[in-house]
Amino acid sequence: MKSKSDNKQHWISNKVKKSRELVYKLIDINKEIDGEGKTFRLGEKVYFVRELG
Amino acid sequence: MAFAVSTLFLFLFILPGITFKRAYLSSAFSRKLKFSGVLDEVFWALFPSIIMHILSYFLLLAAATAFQFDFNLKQLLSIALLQQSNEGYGDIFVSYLLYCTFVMTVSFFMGHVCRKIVRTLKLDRKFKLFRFTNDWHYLLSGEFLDFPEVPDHPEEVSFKLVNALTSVGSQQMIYIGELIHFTLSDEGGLENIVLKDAKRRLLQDDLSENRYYEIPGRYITIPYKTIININVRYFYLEEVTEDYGDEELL
Repeated sequence: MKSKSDNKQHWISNKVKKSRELVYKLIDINKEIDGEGKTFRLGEKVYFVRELG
Repeated sequence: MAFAVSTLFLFLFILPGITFKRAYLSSAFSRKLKFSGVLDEVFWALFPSIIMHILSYFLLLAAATAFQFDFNLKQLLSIALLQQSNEGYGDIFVSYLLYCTFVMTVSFFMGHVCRKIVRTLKLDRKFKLFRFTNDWHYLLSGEFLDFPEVPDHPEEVSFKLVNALTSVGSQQMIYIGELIHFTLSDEGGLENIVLKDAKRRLLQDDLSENRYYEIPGRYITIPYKTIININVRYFYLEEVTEDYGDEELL
């Protein structure tokens, strides 16, 4: 994660390039994601997602 | 008259502390200065002032040696702070003013330098003493994850999901999407958040199927004044290269 923390405007860049489909998928499954992590498929790609904190 | 001038000189003496504090807290996420009581304010004005005077003293000593000019701080301060006659003040007023201007300039730069050091060394995340006043910055940037009491690290965050309950007219709307941008206000709060690929639904549709509907366009700005509450979740996301059986996947 990278943020211009000393600036009033805070833009946040992320490591994985996220398509709209990927974001919608994460929104749809967000209740099932926990600290242990989940693996899911979107199209031909497989992703691992884990909740932090 | 002597008392009034002496008070003015004393104020000029503690002004570098106030300058230092203003410069140190001048970034967007710490701009709001809260009044924390007379004793506290005096302490936080006086303590940095003394340090700035000491630092400036050594800088001026070094400069006096390098550029061959006379500098006697002891004499200057003893006349400025302890003088009984008005004539004595007149003699050193310009010198004292120049000295205070120099100390305030040093304090201004030191305030900014100290903030940079605190931010670079992440001291504000590790110690509450150094933490800045605007909590929104830590929460929305993910730096909150670096606090000692919180596991994980902000460097791992690759996706921030925000649920924002907002008030739209007489109805309450929930927006859910990826947080990509936020703006802090001058008052020390939050001005707005920007969500990417967001969906929304009415709060009353909580139990219905397919309750979210998509928003045309990729980015939506939500003013903070319309937000009732906000839920932020941090996710680590990576693309997996190994083969997985479909039965294991969501």
